[in-house]
Amino acid sequence: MQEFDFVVPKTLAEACQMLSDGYGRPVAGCTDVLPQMRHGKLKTERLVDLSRIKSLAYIEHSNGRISIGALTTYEQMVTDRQLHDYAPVLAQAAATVGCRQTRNRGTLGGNLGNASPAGDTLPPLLILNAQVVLAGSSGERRMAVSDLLLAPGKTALLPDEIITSVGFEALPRGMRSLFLKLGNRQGMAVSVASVALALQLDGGGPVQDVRIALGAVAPTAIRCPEAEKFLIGQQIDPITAGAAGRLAAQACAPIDDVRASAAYRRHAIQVLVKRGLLSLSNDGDSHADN
Amino acid sequence: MLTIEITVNGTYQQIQTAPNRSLLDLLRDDLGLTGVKDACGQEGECGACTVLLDGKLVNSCLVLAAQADGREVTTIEGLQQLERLHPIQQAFVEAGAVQCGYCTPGAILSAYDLLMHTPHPSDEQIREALSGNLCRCTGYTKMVAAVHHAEKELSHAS
Ligand SMILES: Cc1cc2nc3c(=O)[nH]c(=O)nc-3n(C[C@H](O)[C@H](O)[C@H](O)COP(=O)(O)OP(=O)(O)OC[C@H]3O[C@@H](n4cnc5c(N)ncnc54)[C@H](O)[C@@H]3O)c2cc1C
Ligand code: FES
Ligand code: FES
Repeated sequence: MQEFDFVVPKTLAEACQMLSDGYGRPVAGCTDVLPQMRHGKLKTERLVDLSRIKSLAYIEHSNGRISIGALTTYEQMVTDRQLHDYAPVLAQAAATVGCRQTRNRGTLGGNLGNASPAGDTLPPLLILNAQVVLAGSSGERRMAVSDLLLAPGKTALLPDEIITSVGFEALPRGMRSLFLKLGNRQGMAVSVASVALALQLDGGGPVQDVRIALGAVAPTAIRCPEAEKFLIGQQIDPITAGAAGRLAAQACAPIDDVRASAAYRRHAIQVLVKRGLLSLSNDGDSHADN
Repeated sequence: MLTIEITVNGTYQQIQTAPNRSLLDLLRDDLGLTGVKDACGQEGECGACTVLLDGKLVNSCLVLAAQADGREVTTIEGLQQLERLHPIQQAFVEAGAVQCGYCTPGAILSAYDLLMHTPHPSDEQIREALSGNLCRCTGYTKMVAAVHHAEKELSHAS
């Protein structure tokens, strides 16, 4: 592996300072960074190890708002009861990441910072309308996750900026959510296509509110406003769910790569959106019966 | 060079390391713990380099040696109690769950981690727990049997 300096700030302020000359790179779990450095895809003179800044690993909930520190690992998200109650779609996505070894190391901040189109927390964060809090030498700023993600591997972060937390409103009562992912191999699978859905039905009938986001089928994770708009006021059945799936498939701009062809990805999205919508609306029925 | 303080299998040590070395490099090459293996070129894909870092299961190729400063590491060598194999190791031997052996230390540590959290796992839970440890020989069936066997041994012991 290439040579680099390794520095370990104890506080956020120190970390920003160590990044301020633009020659450093923040790291947390290193699960993306080390393979990228070994492949020569990432070069840096200095790694700034955030993993000792304990104040950045937490999941907090107050007045219906959830805040998750950037250093929170997948394993912490999977085992957090509150997250399962207030944003099940994110807890579910965290549970599908890699294997336990990866979930113990990989962080939410790293998934955002890496900005892979296939990052599994990104579609859930999009349907949660999540915002990130960034800290840099010139202070703090906030932005929507959708504005942070620019292109594969590219974010709107300045070189001296660190993601400190991610915040969002809990899903409204009665809104069900689901994360579905298609990968090539359980345990290590990078998504070939993924879908995050949230659905609220008006008294078990027509769609009152729906949110749909897709992963691994465009340069960044994306929302699907066309499919969402189409569904408002409709009954969910195989026909409307299928039509929403086709609209979602039209919204994606997938690529051919080693994992799957663009055509396969587009087809997968159509199937996942349809399946997810039907499954969420059936859940609704069975609960209404109880 | 950096100086790090690390407790490996119960022994505290101070070691010099370059910033670009992984914990796997340190354990295997510098400390001679050859139970920690590299079967994928340190890509994070195979799990042969699995160790416990402060009690948490990790792939040691994806941890920088410097990130283990001040922490405790347990490798397969640390699971063995004196000259006796750990019950999970013994169960793997008896169930015929070891063929070429490349995946075995990592798989046993994953099984150990599982049984610490879930003393009576289902087949499904065992398969999930071993999903980060690629085995191209056994087909996993005998590994699952071995974990069930170890589960019984461990619950008798406690
Ligand atoms: C075997 C294996 C399986 C995997 N499976 C999945 C999977 O199923 N789904 C999935 O989505 N990903 C998967 N990954 C990828 C990876 O684990 C995740 O993207 C993880 O969230 C990265 O977090 P990290 O803390 O390890 O990031 P690092 O590798 O430390 O950093 C990743 C990037 O984010 C930046 N960064 C990190 N923290 C911050 C911060 N606080 N502020 C600003 N920038 C920051 C870094 O500079 C770097 O560019 C897998 C990786 C491996 C090795
Ligand atoms: S050497 Fe393969 S996962 Fe570490
Ligand atoms: S025994 Fe050969 S890889 Fe598992």
